[in-house]
Amino acid sequence: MEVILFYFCGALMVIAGAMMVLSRNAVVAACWLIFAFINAAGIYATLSAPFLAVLQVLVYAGAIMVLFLFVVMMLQGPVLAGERRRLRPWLWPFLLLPPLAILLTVAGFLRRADNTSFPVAAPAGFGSAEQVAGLLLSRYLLAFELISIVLIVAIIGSLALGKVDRRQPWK
Amino acid sequence: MELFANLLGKIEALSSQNVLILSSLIMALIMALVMAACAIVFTWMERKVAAFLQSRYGPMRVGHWHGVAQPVADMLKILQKEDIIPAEADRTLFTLAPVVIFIGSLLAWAAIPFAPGFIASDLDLGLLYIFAVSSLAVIGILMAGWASNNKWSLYGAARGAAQMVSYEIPLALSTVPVVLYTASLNMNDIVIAQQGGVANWFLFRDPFLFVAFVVYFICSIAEVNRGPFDMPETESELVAGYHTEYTGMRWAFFFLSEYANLFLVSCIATAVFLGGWWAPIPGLPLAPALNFIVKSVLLVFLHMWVRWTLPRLRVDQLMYLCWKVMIPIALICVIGSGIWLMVSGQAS
Amino acid sequence: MAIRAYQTLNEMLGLPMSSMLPLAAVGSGVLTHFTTVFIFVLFGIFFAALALGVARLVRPNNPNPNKLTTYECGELPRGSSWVRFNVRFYLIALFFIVFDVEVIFLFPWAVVFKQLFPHPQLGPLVFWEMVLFLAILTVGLAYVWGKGDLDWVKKLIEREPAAGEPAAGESATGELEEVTSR
Repeated sequence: MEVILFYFCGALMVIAGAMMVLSRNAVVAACWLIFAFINAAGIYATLSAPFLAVLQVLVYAGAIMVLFLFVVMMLQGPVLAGERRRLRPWLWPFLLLPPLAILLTVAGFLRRADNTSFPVAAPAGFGSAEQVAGLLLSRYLLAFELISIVLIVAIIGSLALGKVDRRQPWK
Repeated sequence: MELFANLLGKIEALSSQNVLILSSLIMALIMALVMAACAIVFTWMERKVAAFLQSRYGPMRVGHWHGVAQPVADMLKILQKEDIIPAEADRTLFTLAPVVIFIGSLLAWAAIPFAPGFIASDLDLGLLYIFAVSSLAVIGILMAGWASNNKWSLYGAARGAAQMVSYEIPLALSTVPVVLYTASLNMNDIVIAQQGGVANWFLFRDPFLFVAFVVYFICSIAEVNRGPFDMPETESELVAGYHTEYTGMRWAFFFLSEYANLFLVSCIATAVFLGGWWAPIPGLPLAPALNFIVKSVLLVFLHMWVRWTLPRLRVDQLMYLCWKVMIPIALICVIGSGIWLMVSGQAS
Repeated sequence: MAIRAYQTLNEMLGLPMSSMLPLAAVGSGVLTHFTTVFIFVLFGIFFAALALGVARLVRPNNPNPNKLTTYECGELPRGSSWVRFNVRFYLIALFFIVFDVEVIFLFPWAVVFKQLFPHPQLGPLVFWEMVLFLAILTVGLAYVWGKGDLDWVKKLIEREPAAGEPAAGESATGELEEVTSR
């Protein structure tokens, strides 16, 4: 069951990623990206990392993509919509790269399939909030406190980005 | 090829998990019906409450008693309405948006404990999971507003998204003090920790928790976009906000999710602060599910009371309330509850 | 020191050391709960498709160009509504991400706090770690607050009008436009 879910989410994620790259409309591309993130959460869930899965939806799909949508919908809307370009001929050979990469990965995986016993049962409580907290508050204590510094830098950075020159008439 | 054989073997093993799948399907059906029941019961209740507060009658004709069949008539009407997709709209996102909002709402119901054992998915991260999936509604609203290619819709969606993301922070923060006491995010555990009478409900455990509940309640009103925080849908200025262009069944999905979310935030408040399925006085012979639903419906009534009593806030007042009042208070509650817990020495 | 604290934490939480190993682990009880969630998604799609399908059978369908215009209270719509928006929405979303991450770090802390605070050394340590974390972020909030970026309607800068410009307050557009909320 978990293996089926894993591959299902993985396949959907690859499709969503491809659709994101291929969509011409930036907003549609952003929506595909959200779908890809949700599938990534599904993959985390099948890998017994429930905390990470919930975090993925909460932070990436729910917070960062809202920012993305704001940006592509409201700051760049008319610029990005409906732009149509053809691929330059000298770039065509590069189209073969993604299928080649997939092929190589699958081939490599099949060669090792005999000795990879990847479905190892997770110990109880693996990837739970308690474990994450245990690691955060002890081994990664310094990193944890540094995160707050990073966040404060992010706040200041976003202020600088969003600074409107108030002496100019706002458009 | 071994991988393939492995996969086939897993598919066979699937049949042993039929029970899980079947029970999940049944729970999903029940939760969808709960959502539909919300829309039916609460639209009628909203009209009656509004009418009562404004000294009117409200619906009186359909059905024999006080217009009880009004929502059914409305539903039949909506079903027959023409589906209009504006020529200028982005068709894909326009059709997808109501479904996204509906699924986001339905998913959150999976972790609501109505009664002992009656929970679709007993997730260890229940509370965080509920916040995560309800944040998907913001995406749906933005999709709907943008895809409509209507100025009212886009303004409504932008306001709605800004409001919902802002109030999500104090909403989540206000539940952290409870988690301090339960040491678990599992919704079942949170309810079980409140066993006993009213005094054991988290609402009355310490003063900071009471304040946290007030913060939660105010933020939950903003989270479901209802008055006095109904900036995204202000009828008098934005027509209908992000669902201006929607008609018929697609509009019904927005409406369904709106009332389902109203009940959802009340259910979360019941489970987290108001003792869940426990009776107010221990030993009272009341069905657990009945306790839970009565408490939640009373909270919904409170929501309606507030909506039809207070005037609407302006956008700047809304943001002021969130960032400068609610978030600082919620942060103080978190630290205060932590200190209270340490001082009172309620060790595990 | 950190490793010691880490081991004590593990013992107090009753977790074996091996459970911390990053195994690519599949098939614990957690998963059955997420399977239910997955089935909820499928059911939601099915339910929505069913409801919209039934409505499609019942409802009339006779569009005409007037009906399909964008609704702007009877006026003919002018231009696309996909316009640029005020940067303040973008700022709110950025602040939201920062504080959302903060909340997410609070939850795991809250989960283990009750088990850890009776411990003579770890208890205060865990408490003050979070106080420090919150304090640093509160400084951030105070900074944004002080800068006036939490105000939806920003204060207009009072300045001397440059030569050839209408004085502030006289201009019908210009800075005053910033006051109008969108």
